Amino acid sequence: MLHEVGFDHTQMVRETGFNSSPVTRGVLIRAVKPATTASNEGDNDMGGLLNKYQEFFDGAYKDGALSARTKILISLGASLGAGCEP
Amino acid sequence: MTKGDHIGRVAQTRASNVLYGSAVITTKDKGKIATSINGKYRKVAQNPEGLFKYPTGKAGLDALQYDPELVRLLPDSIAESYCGPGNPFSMGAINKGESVLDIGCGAGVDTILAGMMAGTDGYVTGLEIVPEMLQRAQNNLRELDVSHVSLLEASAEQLPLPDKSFDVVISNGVFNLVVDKVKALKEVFRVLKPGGRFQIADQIRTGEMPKETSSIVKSWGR
Ligand SMILES: C[S@@+](CC[C@H](N)C(=O)[O-])C[C@H]1O[C@@H](n2cnc3c(N)ncnc32)[C@H](O)[C@@H]1O
Repeated sequence: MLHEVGFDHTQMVRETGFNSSPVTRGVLIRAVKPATTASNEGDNDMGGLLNKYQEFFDGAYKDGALSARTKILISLGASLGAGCEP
Repeated sequence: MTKGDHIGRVAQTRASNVLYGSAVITTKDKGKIATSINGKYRKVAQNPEGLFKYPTGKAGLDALQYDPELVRLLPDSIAESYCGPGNPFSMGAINKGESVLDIGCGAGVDTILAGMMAGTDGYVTGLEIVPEMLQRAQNNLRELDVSHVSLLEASAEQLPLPDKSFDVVISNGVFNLVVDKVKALKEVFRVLKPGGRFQIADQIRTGEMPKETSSIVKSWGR
């Protein structure tokens, strides 16, 4: 989603360790607007973004703490629909 | 459920409808979501303690390892109003002289901290949709000498701000509540200067999205 709108260097930096519900995770995400935007504007590479997240979570959960299916669902697009309520 | 189920399809349809998988969130649904967000954050503006699953106030700032030197400068009455789920500055501090936008600033604790880091050669804008939260932020700002920090009542989905006007956009616990995330992210992109940074702390969903619009609306933010 971030890449879709033109951001570069999109990175899920780490989890915060505080989750506001059993189906959400606290995360820190960073992205940069390219110094020259022409080539990135309108880019629709959702696969690339998903792969970045996938790599992050594959690394973070080698022990299988999350199922593969859960990992696939983790992306800004799949998520950020849930969160800050008790 | 396949990879693409939610990802590619969280998109705008007609003018203001938003798709979540196959569920359509209409303007009316958005109204219901806005009412529940307003109801919750009107209370949070008084005091967030006990209203979140994660620590808030000074305990939250400590647990999320905010710079203790800066936290020390916050009066208790300001620190207690913090309700962010993460520390956007842990991904990179704000440099002296930079311009910063804090989207969904709530009571303005991150806004104030960004103002301290940017110094008076920089400027910081806190933007918030719930009037009571913004009022609390205003009260908080009054306690400090921060004339280079300003507040704005608006939605993340439509920033009343010029293109390319900020070095950094931060947001803490807000995008999970925004309905049209693509629209809001496009707005972040628009107001950032080329080379500008976006640092977001938030809650992301790891389980499936409900299939029915009514369930999505009812469970919004949960
Ligand atoms: C969990 S609170 C975090 C507040 C603040 N960032 C902090 O860390 O203390 C989420 C905030 O986002 C605001 N918010 C929700 N939807 C918004 C939108 N569409 N535009 C702007 N602010 C919004 C809420 O009113 C609330 O103040």
